[in-house]
This record gives sequence, C-alpha cells and structure tokens, in this order.
Amino acid sequence: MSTPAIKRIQKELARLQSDPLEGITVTPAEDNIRYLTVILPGPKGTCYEGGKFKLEVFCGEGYPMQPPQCRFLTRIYHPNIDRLGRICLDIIDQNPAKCQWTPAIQIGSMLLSIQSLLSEPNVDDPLDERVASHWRTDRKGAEAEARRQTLQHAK
Amino acid sequence: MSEVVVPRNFRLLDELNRVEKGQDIPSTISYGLADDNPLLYNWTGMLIPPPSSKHAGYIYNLEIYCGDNYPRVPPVVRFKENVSLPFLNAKKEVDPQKFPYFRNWKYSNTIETSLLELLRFIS
Repeated sequence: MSTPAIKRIQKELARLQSDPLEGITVTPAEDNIRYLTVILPGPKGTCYEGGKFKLEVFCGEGYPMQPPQCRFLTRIYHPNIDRLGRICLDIIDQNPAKCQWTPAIQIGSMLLSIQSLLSEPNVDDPLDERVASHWRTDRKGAEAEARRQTLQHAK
Repeated sequence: MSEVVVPRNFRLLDELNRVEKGQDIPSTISYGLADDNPLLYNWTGMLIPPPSSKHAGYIYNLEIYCGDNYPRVPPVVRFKENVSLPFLNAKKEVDPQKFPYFRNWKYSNTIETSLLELLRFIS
C-alpha cells in the first residue's frame, strides 16, 4: 500500500497535525488516507470571520502530479464558490490547460490559498455570476449577506 | 499498485461534471442533479427509448436517489409515470433483485450506465 503518493500524503498529514496551520484541522478518513475532512476557520477581519467551514479533499490517482480535488461542504456566499461548494482557484483547476498546480504545492499551502481566496474574492473570474454581480454592484450588501450566511451555516 | 478508491461525493461530482460538460452522453438517456443540496442525494433521469424499441414514443421520467452508501450500493430508481413493468415494486421503484445490473452491482457502475442498462432491459 505504500506507494510514493501515499508516503507523501502520510508525511504531509503528520506535519499538518504536529504543526497545524492557522487553526486549520485536517483529518483523513479511517478507510481512505487520500480522503480528508478539513475544518477551515474564516479569516479574521473578513465577512467569514467566526465561521468554521467544512471542506473535503481527495488526493486522486494523479496526486501529487495533479492537484487534489477540493470543495466546501458548508454553504458559503462567495463569488468563486458555487452552490455545491466547488471552488474556482487556479492552483486546483481540474482543467489541465488552466491549472497552475505544481507538485511542489502541498495540501497545507493549498488550504492557505483557499483561505486567502476568502479574504480576497476574485470577481473577475467568478464561478457564481449572480454572487459576483452582487459583489461588484453592492460590495457592502454582498458582504453583509456573506456574514449572515456564515452565522447561519458555519457555526 | 495500490487501489485508489474515489469517495462517494467526488464520484458523484465526477458524474455531474460529465453531464455539465455534455460529454458523449447517449441521446437515449438524460440525467442531472435535482436540487442544490451539496450532499448530492437527489437526481432526475429520463429514458428515451429509440425508434426500434417496443417502448418507442414513450418517455420515462425517473427519480434517482443516491444514498450515503452509493456507489457501494446501487441508486434507488423510481419511475414517475404509472407504468407496469415486471421489475418495479409497489412504489414503482426498480427492485434490485429483479434487475440483474443492480443485483450484481459494481463500484464502478454509474447513474449513466444504470440508465443505459435499464433502457436495454426494457427494450
């Protein structure tokens, strides 16, 4: 069972558990070390502050040459995250032509990138156009809605 | 090589991704997510029997439920119309014991292959 990919995942998990990043917890499934449950705190000073967001990560067959798949299980109001929790972020784009992933990126750094996406929504490359246009036309109102949904779903 | 098992949710996201991209889905079936629950339980489907079938001219609408144990176990497929087919139970659900593809279910089977087999089974 100890392929190089598995060894790398084990090593990354050990480091994430001994030296957790920014309050992020990462727990592998009992029967599948490639399948991780993540609790990601909303960044301070943003409309997601105080929220604890649950994500799931799967390091598939191609890992680490290809990025893990990753999505939010907790509902979140954000222009780059859709209703099913799928994330639009260049380093984990599942389209190889657009993907900026390199094997030097680790699960931890990927999660930090997702956390910084929460701090800095990218309205020019939206996944949910309705949310993005709310952000462009009424940033204060969009942030208030994001704060409301954080309190509602991400306690 | 160790076997890589794709967990339920990512497996269903892959299936959804195929539909959204419209990748080579045969024209005799269609399917999609029924709501935006992130746990991806409820799907809808349609069987469109080809002209050569004795069911030609009919369209069968389906409710498809992928439970927590999918794809270790087959989805629950329910016919919405009142049809009389020998492999349906009283709730108009496909009885896995009477549909060989469900009885001999494999992890690699999908919603799409299930609908195609169902169509073949009634034709």
